[in-house]
Amino acid sequence: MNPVQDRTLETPGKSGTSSPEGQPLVVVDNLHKSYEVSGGPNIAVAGVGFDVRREEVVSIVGPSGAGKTTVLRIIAGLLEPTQGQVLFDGRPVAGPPPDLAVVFQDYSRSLLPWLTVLGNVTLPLRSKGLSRQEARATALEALASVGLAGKEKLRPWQLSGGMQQRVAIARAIAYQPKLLLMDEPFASVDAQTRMDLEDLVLPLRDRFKVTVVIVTHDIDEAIYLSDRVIVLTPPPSIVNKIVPIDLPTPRTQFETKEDPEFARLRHQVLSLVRRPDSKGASNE
Amino acid sequence: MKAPAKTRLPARVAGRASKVAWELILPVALLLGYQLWSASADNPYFPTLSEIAVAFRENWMGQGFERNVVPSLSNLFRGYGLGLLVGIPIGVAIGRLLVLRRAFGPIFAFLLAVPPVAILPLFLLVLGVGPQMQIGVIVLAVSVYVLIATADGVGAISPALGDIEDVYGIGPLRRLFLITLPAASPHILAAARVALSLAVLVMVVSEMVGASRGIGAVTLLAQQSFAYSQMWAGMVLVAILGIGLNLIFGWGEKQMLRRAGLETQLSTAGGGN
Repeated sequence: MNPVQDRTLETPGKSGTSSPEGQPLVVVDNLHKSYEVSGGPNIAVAGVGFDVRREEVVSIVGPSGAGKTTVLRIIAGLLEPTQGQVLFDGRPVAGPPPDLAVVFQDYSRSLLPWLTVLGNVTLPLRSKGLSRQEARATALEALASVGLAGKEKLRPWQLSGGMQQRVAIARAIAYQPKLLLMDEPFASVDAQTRMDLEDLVLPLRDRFKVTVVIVTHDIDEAIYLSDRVIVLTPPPSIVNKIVPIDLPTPRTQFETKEDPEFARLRHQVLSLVRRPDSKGASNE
Repeated sequence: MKAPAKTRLPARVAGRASKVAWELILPVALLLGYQLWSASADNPYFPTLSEIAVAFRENWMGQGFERNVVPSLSNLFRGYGLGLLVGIPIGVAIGRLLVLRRAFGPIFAFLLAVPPVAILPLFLLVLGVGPQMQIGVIVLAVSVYVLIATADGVGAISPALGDIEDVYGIGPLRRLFLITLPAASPHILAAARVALSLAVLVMVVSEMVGASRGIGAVTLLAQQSFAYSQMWAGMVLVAILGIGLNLIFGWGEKQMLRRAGLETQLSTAGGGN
């Protein structure tokens, strides 16, 4: 069975846009990105292309330096590609689209220490035009959904690292985006906290009907969270392989990670990352 | 639980007291030494502490305060305030716009290199003797210094915050007041503190060259009319003013940064709460 297609069929017309439901939310089309360095251009990305379907969770993995974050920043409209384009909801991306939120790796830099937790979450909502009351209600709901009810009056720096990243996730969710981009979202927290945060993502996707793209260097995390894993080659990067993850849902840290299928996928993705030429040892 | 808490508080007080005591030893010894020496030396250039104290009361308290200290402070604060009002907004604009930073960079580097006191003759020429001239020089000194530091501070804001602004479409006013200014505030406040000392310096010098009233004017006049105790009293007042303003500003700065959650970024010593 394919959980992605099932979900898409379950929610016809939910997104409320004119674009057809079958159309992917994101089309990444032949992206190139090179940086000028002394001694000629340094090609980071050399023709990356893939689609992201609505309400799908997709991870991008690859060897170090494979331009994963570059691709994410181009999708977010924070970086211009040298060549190629990204279609978001049918429209070419030129600057960050309004229906998009990003959770960055470094929560300590992306949260504002002079605002309360609530202030951090409401700031984008107020900019979006919500009234003070609406913004507050939406923010409190989002904070509750990430397990931070009652913490809204604290400052971010009074919270642990994991909790600060929850604030960043709440801020993103409260913004009610169609697409949530996460750039190494759990790389700065300890292993236990990391599992807690991982287990936050899929319920949020189900509850808020959001599409999620995660950049991570953690293969287990990518498989655990995703419907598909996109493996990039070393730079100049292209898509090496897109690995569908047909693990049953709901996923749990014990059952899912002990599933033999998980081990097989892990082996496949890891060998694609570690030895890009092998084309996935235990492939098919 | 209770026992260590009980012993710790007096211990901390004792620790602080001994620290203060150590810090006081040298200044007190110096003052004492000066008093003994000046009393025995009978050198008119170096009056005793009690003579200076008498002159201080005569010159700077009561009528003298109104006549000479009030106008000085009024010029100081008006010039300082105006300098901040000019320097911070222009600094923010220049910090945010790379084009402006490039265009104005050399000019500000030049202005920063010229001691504000060196521009005094020009101000005397154009604005004449009087408070306009004094305030004008203070405004120039303060605004140039604060402007450059603000531009640096705004330019040094983490690009991560720019990403947040862009992704979440934060409007220009919210950007300015909720992100840019708070993020640059450690730089701005540090510069404003240095600029305050600079303003005191410029105030005194401008009164020495172009005023008949005010702390600088009275102090220089005392020196020229052989009233050395009064000259010393002037120096003491300027010192008290400088230390007092710096202490008040430092306290306010610390409170603001603590409330903004930025304190940890400044003092790595930490251990605040």
